[in-house]
Order: sequence, then structure tokens, then C-alpha cells
Amino acid sequence: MRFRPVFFVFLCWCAFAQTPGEAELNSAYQALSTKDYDRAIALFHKGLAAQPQNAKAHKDLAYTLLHAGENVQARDEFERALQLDSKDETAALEFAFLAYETKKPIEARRTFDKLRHSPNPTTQKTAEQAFQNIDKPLADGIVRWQEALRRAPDPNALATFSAHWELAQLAEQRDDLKLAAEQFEICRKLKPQLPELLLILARVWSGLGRVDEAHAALLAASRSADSRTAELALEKLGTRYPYPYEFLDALKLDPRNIELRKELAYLYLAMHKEQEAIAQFEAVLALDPKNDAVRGQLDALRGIKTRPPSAAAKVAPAEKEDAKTMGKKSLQLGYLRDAVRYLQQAHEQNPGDAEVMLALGQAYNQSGNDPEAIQWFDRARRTDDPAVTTEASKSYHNLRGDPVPQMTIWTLPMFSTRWHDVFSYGQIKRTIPLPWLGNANRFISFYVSMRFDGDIKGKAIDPSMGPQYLSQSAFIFAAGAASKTWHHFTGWAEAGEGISYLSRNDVGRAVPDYRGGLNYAKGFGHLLGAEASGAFYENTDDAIYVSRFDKDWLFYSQHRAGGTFHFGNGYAGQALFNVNYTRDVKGEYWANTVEIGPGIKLRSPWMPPAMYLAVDALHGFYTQTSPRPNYNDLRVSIWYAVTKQR
Amino acid sequence: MSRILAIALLLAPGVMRAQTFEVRGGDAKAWTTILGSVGITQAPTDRADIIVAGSSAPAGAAALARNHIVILNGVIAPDLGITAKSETVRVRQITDIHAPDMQIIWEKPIEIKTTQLPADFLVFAKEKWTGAPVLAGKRTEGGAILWLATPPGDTGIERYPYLLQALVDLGWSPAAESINLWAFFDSSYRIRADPGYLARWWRRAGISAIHAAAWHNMEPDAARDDYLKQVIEACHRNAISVYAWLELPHVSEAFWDAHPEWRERTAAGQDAQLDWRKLMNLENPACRQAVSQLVRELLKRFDWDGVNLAELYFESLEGASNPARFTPMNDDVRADFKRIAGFDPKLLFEAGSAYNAASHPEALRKFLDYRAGLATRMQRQWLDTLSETRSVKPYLDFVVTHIDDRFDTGIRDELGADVARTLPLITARKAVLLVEDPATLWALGPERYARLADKYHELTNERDRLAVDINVVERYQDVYPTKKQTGLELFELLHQAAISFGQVALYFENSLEKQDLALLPAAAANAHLSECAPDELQVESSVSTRIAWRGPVAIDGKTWPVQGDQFVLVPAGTHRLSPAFKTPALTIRDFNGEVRSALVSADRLDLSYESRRRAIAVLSSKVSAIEVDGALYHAASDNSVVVLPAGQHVVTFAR
Repeated sequence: MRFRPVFFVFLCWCAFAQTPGEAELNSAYQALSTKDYDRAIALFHKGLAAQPQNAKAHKDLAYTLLHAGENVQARDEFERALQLDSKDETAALEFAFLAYETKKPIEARRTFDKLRHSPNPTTQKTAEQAFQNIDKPLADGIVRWQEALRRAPDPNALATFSAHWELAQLAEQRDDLKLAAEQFEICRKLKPQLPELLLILARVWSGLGRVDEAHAALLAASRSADSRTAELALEKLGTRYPYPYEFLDALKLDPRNIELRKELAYLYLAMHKEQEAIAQFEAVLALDPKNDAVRGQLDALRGIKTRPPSAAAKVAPAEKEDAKTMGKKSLQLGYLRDAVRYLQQAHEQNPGDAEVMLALGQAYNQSGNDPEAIQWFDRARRTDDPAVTTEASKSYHNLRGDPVPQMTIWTLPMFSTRWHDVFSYGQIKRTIPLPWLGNANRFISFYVSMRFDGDIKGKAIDPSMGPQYLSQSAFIFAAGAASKTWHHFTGWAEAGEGISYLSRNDVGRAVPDYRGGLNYAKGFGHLLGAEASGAFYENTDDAIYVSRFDKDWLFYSQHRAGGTFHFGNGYAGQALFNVNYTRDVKGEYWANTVEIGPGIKLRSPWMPPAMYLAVDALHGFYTQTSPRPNYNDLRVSIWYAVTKQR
Repeated sequence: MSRILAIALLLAPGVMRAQTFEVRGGDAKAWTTILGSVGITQAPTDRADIIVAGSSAPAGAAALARNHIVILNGVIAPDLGITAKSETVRVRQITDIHAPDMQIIWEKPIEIKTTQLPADFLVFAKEKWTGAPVLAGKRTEGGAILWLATPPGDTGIERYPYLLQALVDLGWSPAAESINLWAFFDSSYRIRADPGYLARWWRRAGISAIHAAAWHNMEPDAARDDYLKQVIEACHRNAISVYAWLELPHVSEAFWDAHPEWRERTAAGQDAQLDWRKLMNLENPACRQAVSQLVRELLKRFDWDGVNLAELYFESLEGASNPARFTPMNDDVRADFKRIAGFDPKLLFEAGSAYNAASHPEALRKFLDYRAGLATRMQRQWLDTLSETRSVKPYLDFVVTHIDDRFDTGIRDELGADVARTLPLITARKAVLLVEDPATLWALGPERYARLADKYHELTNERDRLAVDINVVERYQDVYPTKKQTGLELFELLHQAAISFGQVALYFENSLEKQDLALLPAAAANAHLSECAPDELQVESSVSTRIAWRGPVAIDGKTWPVQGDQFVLVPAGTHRLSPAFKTPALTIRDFNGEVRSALVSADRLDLSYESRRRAIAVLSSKVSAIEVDGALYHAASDNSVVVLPAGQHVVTFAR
């Protein structure tokens, strides 16, 4: 009986000792050994959820799926295994064979083509044979259909459509994209009513690097009256709203696309280009004379107010939708007057629409009309739409300067070549409005805070100066107060205790910490968050009292100037020049420097909004007598900050 | 005790075997289609198992859902925690957990208010771009709630293809299932799949016969032959018959490569390699003889149950308008036609010739008529060739797959297919006509099968010799909500086809979506169930039907021995099912013929059945002897699977 608790403990230990997902994978192999494929597949999926990088398990799942006849899924699992281990030629061959069987002949041919140049003779032979098995029929087919077209009395007659179609498909499968594009273009001339041809052309043109044409085809397809074509195009088009010239390019490809033309007309309206809008509306009416909504819009633009009430009633639903859409689009594009006008109209049509109220608040706010904006945010925050109310409530309190509890976290991990060390600075701060202070909370905010100031090395040994600590190596817990920012100036002060996480020989484990100062920060021009590229200048000045540094006052003045660039798809960067000046009252050598040098900052679309990567190459001069020489330092840092209300 | 247990088991599922529905406040048409596709019928007010709320949530919805399935059809129900938000979303594409990669696109987008659902609701489908839920539900104590963001649309099949799968997830399961489906099988897509696994799935999906692509085995090949043998054995073990599916004049890849001199030619003068088929000139005597020999050998080499002579006519659906695809134009046909009509048919396609088709339609008409006659002649020849094999394998059943040209009359000229001429050949050889609905009809919707059936019933009154083929493929037309028939659309197609034709084939097993398989047999069933007493069920059906049942069962008061763990196989006619006291010592766990009657005693089981082809019985245990019509058939069976002779027989299994 005594062994039982021991055995139980052993079992628990085994359960905890196993790598996550291991138990599921072991059970999957057991199920596989009894040909219970359904169970094995489910267990492999569970195991792989915990071990997504396990290439072998992906492969074994693929083989299990093959037993169950699930070739498409098996293909995808081999592909995953291949992504994890690009040298696995078995997985590559399996993927290629299955790609061919599952109607992905292009991928199959390309993979075999690559593998037939493998140094492994077995792989080479198999791949070469498979490649020829795919390529030869394609080549023969191309010759056959070219010959069929050559023999046709009129190779551009409608009856030859299927020959052009076959030829185009074979050419695309053989990666002869030029021929494929030429033939698909003929197909489109013969049957312009086939909307899917736009998607096909976009794919082939894109492969040929004809990016603008591909984009135009996708844009036209995305506004197709055929829902399937429109949805498939949207999946490929991306989220950026097109520019008018892109609409015009798309209309060249698909001039009878009414939705596309109508949208361009409304876009022109939002841009205050009424003549262009009228021209597009007229073109829509020429294609669709019974389109009462467009006729009404055109009449309104021309100042004609003679529409009979019934016609007005008919166009109402379309206008209702358009006013909101146009208002949001105008806001997005920065046409604030139009945005306000359309959104007001939308609000009149549907006074309960919370999204419209929020957008109106944003439009007024961006126009500089904060009193009006506050009213709209106030209305929006009282609606029953949780997403809108959260956003509106935040904007409402921000604009009013209401003291709302908020949490701010910032962090700056940095690697320095000068010290061969990684430093990290950060702070978690929670502001707490004090109820008995009433309106005073608007001018001064009280907070509790935890700062971190540390590095990886802990200390450096300098032959001339002995062991030196490179950071405070401490968590600093404090309570403080900060003023409301006034003309870019903010004052603050805090008192607390710094708790070192190292046992240091220069200070005790817990040290009282008092600090405070004045901060000034201002930027000019196209800063990193700006939508357009251009020049910028940033300046940050601080005067800081720190009790821990022998009750010293430090002065920092940092300047960055340069250019901001956008690389497309949300990527942005800055090329800049730094000038940093540091001085103190006590005349410490380390606190009296000038640093200059170039730097870059980078932002990618997957980063949170207030994050960027910075790399600075600085040359530093000591401005007072120093035991250390002047220095060069390459600093790689990541800045991240986030503030959450309530 | 076991009777009580059996009653408990029968009744336990309760509303989850729901067979009736009622629509409160809304149009019942769409729901008749949706729920009718799996045999759920409309019931009088307040007597239904499923309540569909059309315009507003029914009073006391929460209480109702405790023992009903309540479907909220585009309505909100604050009592159930389902509330509308102010923001709207335009729905055009949805994603469903039953097929996350399937593009489900609504032809007509709809602007809806987004809905807040209680946390315990499982979301089955969402709007593609915003993730707003559009189909969700939850189980209740003894029922379920299914919520739809919009009504299902006029046709019922245009928005939520996997609505019935959602009902299954919520606990509903069908009560009646067909076991009589056919499916086409092409081993080239499945060569590495485990035949035993596939066969088990097929049988669960109600498949009684597969038509296996035989051109891959036309020439002996050890590996391919071995795989096909494994497939046939696995099918037989699972009560599935196997037909050799021929696609003449395509013979095989190897035959095409070996005999360029016998290749068919197109009117453009090229070898006729059209799509995947590589067509041979079967009018060439030497070619015909060589192919006949191959086919005879093929039929001998494997344990087939039948042969399907499929699509033996010409190319293409574009007819004479596209010479690059038009066949036949081989030398033998040209010479024969010239002998009859006085001109070479090649001239029909030569610009400026005296017989150019465009300027001389009467010349083209002559050739098209000749061509249709030739197709019929070839069908006769090949049916005769196949019939010769009956001297060795008299049990072989014949099927002729033929595209419809009655509904779409243009097909005769396009392909040379003339079913009115072919049907007498089929009837004379006691074969089955499997009607293939042409691609031109695929977009017409499920009701086309009833109209198609009417056309064929004008030609023959032998309804059991008519079958219909449903092509489950990605369609080239603009069809919604899915490119391929899946979910509700497939169930409705199958249901209508089964009602109209009786025998339905699915093309092909590999194109069927796995999430559809479980409900296929319910869609193909044509049975009416009613509860005549708390523990008794009345079943009316024109064919043997699988009825969900657990435990011993009596049919019309007698212990019934044809049943599996989860079902009982009920013969055609009207029968009353009730719990029995004891499961017989010997049972037939599965059977793919038509059961007429069955009697069981302590030491024997007598089964009267009928089957066009050999029937397969899967027994619960081995038997000491098998007699058919009183004569010894097997002295003893080492195997629990017994292949029985075709026709109408009484078989006795002795323990």
C-alpha cells in the first residue's frame, strides 16, 4: 500500500516532466499503430498546437492524413514540415506530388524543378522524372492548342475562346506568364462579361511584375456586380483605400463597372472635385439610365430641386448609406469639412447611429472645434454600442482634461557597444485622481509608480577605476505628482525607495529616492507617426533632480533632425542626426557630455502604435576633465509606451 | 428488464431525433426545403419538435427551448440574452467552422445589425471581414437554440450551407437513412489511402456501391492491381458492391502511348486529347479488337459486381462550333460517312468548301445525325462485348451512364448522345440507365430532378432501371453560396434526386466534403416516420431504410435480426417498430440488397431479399451452413461477410 503515494507522485512528475504536447503526440502514434486515423489526426493536431515547430510530427500527421485520404491537408502539412526544415527533400517531394494531385500544378512543377537540381542523386532522379511528367504534357498541350488556333479560320472568333483559354491555362501552369497573359487578354476581349477573368489577369500580371495593371484589375474586380468575384478580389486587394487615379486605371480596364464609377464619383465629391464627380455620375447614368439614386445626386449637384417626392423617397436609402460611408471616407482622407457635412446628414437620417456620433466627434476634434467635439463624444458615449462607448468615453475625458485614472507603461531596452551591455529603463505609473481635490485634479495628477533601472552585466571592471556599476540595478517604488502639460512643459516630483536587486558595495539594498524636475518636449514637421513623408525636428529638454546622485541636478537637451520616409504597406522610418547635451550642477565628469551622430528609427505595421526600433551611432565628448577618453557608441534600442484609461 | 432498457434507449434522444417542425410567424417555404432535405416534415401547430420563430422570438422562448429545438430565424431575443447592437455590418461572405476554408458567398449582400450573443453560445459562422456572428447556438436541458442573423433566404439554400451540421452539433441526429447510394471512385486521387478506412466511411455515408475507375487497371500492373483488389475486398467487407467504370473511347494512358495510329482525331486534324481523356478510334477494327480483349481481361482479373459503360459518345459540349474539340474525325469514320453521304465530313470545317458547315447547314445536319447513330451503334457493340463476360460471370450488373438530351435537347448535336435510341439497348440487356445531368443544367437548382425524371418516365415505365448522377464539382457558372455543391444545397439536390429517381449516384466520392458525409444518407432517405405509441415507431418507405435504433427490436411484433449497433434495417413498406426482449443470437449487421422479410430462431436466420447485383451480408458471427432457396450455398462460412447471388432469393444461415 505504501507505494501508492510514491507512484502517484511519480505519475505527476511524469506528467509535468513531459514537454507540452508530448503526451498527445505519443497517443497519436499509438492510435496510428491501430489504424485509428481519425483519433490519430485529432491527437496530432493537439500535440502540434503545443509544438508547432515539430517538423517530424507535421510529417507524420501528413502521412496519417494520406492514409485517411485527406490529400489537401496532407499537402499542407508537408509544406509546413518543409517550411520548418527546408533541407528535407522527402517532405519537398511529397509536397510536390500532392500539390500536383490537389490541383496546384504550378507549385508542383516549380518544386520538382528545384529538386531536380538537388545534389542527392535519388531526389534528382525522382524529381527529374516527375518534372518531365508534368512539363512535357504542358509543352505538348501548348503546341497543340497553338496549332489548333493556327488552323482555325478566325483565331479571334468567339468559337476559339476555349482554345485560347486552354492555351492560357497551360502557359500559366508552365510559368510562361507572357503567353498566359496574352491569351487571357484575348479571352477577356472575347468574353468581357466573365468577371473572374479580371482576377486571373491580376494574378498573371502580378507574376509578370505589371503591378499597376494587376492592382487596377483587382480594384475593378472588387467592385464587380458578381459577389464572388468582388469578395475574392477584396481578399487580395489589401486594406488601403485607393486613390482616384487608381479608380481611373481600373475603369480603363472595366469601363462598364457601375459600382466602380459610382464610388469614384462619390470620392470626387468628398474631395470637392464636383466637376469630375458630375462627369462620373453622368457616365453611370449613360450605362444605367434607371439609376434614380445617381440621377438624384446629379440633380442635387446641379442645383436642381425638382425631383418628385416619390423619387426622393426612392433614393433615400441609398443616400442614407452613402452619407455615412462618405463621411467616414472624408474623415479618413482628411477632408474634414466634407466629413462634418456628410456625417451631420447621416445623423439626421439615423439619429441613433453611434458610429456616426463618434465620427462627428472625431471630425470636429480634428477641425479644432473641441467644444463641438466634446458634445458629440458625450452623445456617443451614452449609446449602447460597447465599442463606440469605450472609444467615445476616452476621447470625451481626454478633451475635457478630466482626471481619469490611467495606467502608463513605458520601456526602453537598449544595447550599447560602448559597454557591451544591455540596459533597460522602464516605468509603470498609475494616476489616481483625488476626489477631495475636485477641479485641482485637472491641473495636477497624483500617481504611484514603479521604475526599473538595470542592466545585464551588473558591473564593469575598469582597470583604471576598479569595479563600476553601469546602472542603478534597482526597482524604484514611489509616489508622485505631475503637472498638466502646459505649452509642452511638464513638472513632476516623486518620493520613494529604490530597492536594488544586486548586493552592491557602493549603496545599501534599499535607498531613499527623491527625484523631480521639468520636462519640455516638442516636435515639428513630419514625425514618425505622420501619414506623409518629409522633414522633421524633435527636441526634448529635461532638468532633473535625483537624490541618489549625490542630490545632483542634471540637465539634458536632446535634438534630432532629419527625414521621415514611408516604404509602403505601413512601414516607415526616419534617417536623423542626433545632438545630445548633458550637464549637471555638481560637475561630475559622466554628466557633462556632448554626443553627436547619425541614427535611424524604424516602424513596421505589426508593431503596436507607440513602438519603434532605433539605432544610433554616436560620438561622445566629455566637456569636463574625465578619467575616461571620449568614446564611440552604437546604441540599438526599442521604445514602447502604452497608456490605458481606467 | 431489457425491454425497459430498450424503451429507455429509444426514448432517450427525445427531441434530438426530431422529425417535425413548425414555423411561427414567417414563411415556411424555405424551412420546408431546409429541414425537408433531411426528412423533417411540417407538423400541426403545437405538435412539432422544432419551432422556427420567423418574425419575433416566441413567447417563453427559454422555456420552449428546454424540450424543443428553437430556431430563431433572423430575430433577436432579449429574454435569451440575444440583443442587437447599433452598429451594422454588410454581409456578403461568411466563414463556417464546419469548413473554415470554404468560400461561402451570398449572391445578394445584406446589411444587418451586429448581435450580442450570450457567452455560452457556440458561434458556427461569422461574417468574413468583421467576425460578426451570423449563425450560433447552444444546447439546452432537452433541446437546443439555433440563432441565425438573417432569414435563410427564399430558396433556403442561399446563405447558411452548414445549418444542418450546426443542428447536429447541437445534438440533433437524423432518424432515417438511405443505404442505397452509389458513388464514383477514382483511385488516382486515393492511391495512398487505406481502403478499409475509406470503405467504412463510404458505408457510413449510405453508399451501397462504388463505380471504380477501371482505366487505371486496363493493363496489368502489380502495384495498381493490388490496390484495386484491396479496395474491392474492403468494400465487400463493408457491404459495398464494386462496378468497373469504363470511359471508352478513353482506354488508358498506356494504350494511348502505345497506339498513336489508333488515336481519335478532332475536326482540326489533331489527336483527340481533350481534357483528361485521350480518345481512341474504336471504329478501327484492330483497335476495337485490342480494346475488347483488354476489357474482357479486366473484367476477369477482378472480383467486380458490375460494369458501368459511361459516356460513350463524342466531344464536345461546344459541338461543331469548335473544330478543335469536335470528334470523331478519324479515317474510318470519314470513309464510312463518305460512303453513305458522298462527302468527306472534314469538308464541313474547311473554309470555302462546298460542304462548309456554316454555309451548308444541311450537310452538317447529315453528319450530326450520322454521328448520333454511330454513338448508339458503338454503345450496342460494347454492351454486347460486355455481355459476353456474363458467360463467365453471370451475376455482373450493367449500368450505362448517359448524358441527358431530353431536357437539354442541344446535347444530341453537341455530343452525339441520343438517349431515346440508347434506352431500348439498355432495357434489352436488363441494365440500368444512369442519367447524367449536363453542366448546362447544374445552375437550375434541385427541382430539375423532378422535371428530368418526368422526361425519362415518358420513355420507360421501368422506373427501377433509371438512376441519376449528381456531379459534385466546382462549377464554372456563377453559383451561390458555394462553387461546389456542399451542405444544404447538396442535401436538397440529393433529396430531390432520390425522390425523383430512387437510385442516385454521386460523382465522385473524393469531391464530397467530409463534413457532408454524415448527413448524406438522411438526405437520400425517403421514409416517413411517425410515433404511434410512446415506445413504437411506424415507418413507411419504398426501399429498405436504416432507422436509428439501439437495442433489440421487433418489426410488426416479430423479433427482427437485421440490425447494427445504432440502427435497424427496415424493409420497404409500412412497418411498426417496437422494442424486443432480446437480441437474436445471429443477426445481419449490414446488408446492401433489398430486404423483403426476415425470420430468426435460436439456430437459424431466414432472409428473403432481392438484388440486381450480388448482395452482400455482414453477419454478427460465423455460421455453420448457408442455403440459398433450399440448396446448399456454402457448407460453412469462415467469414462473417457473405456474398449472395443476384436476383430474388431466400437465404438461410444456420448457426
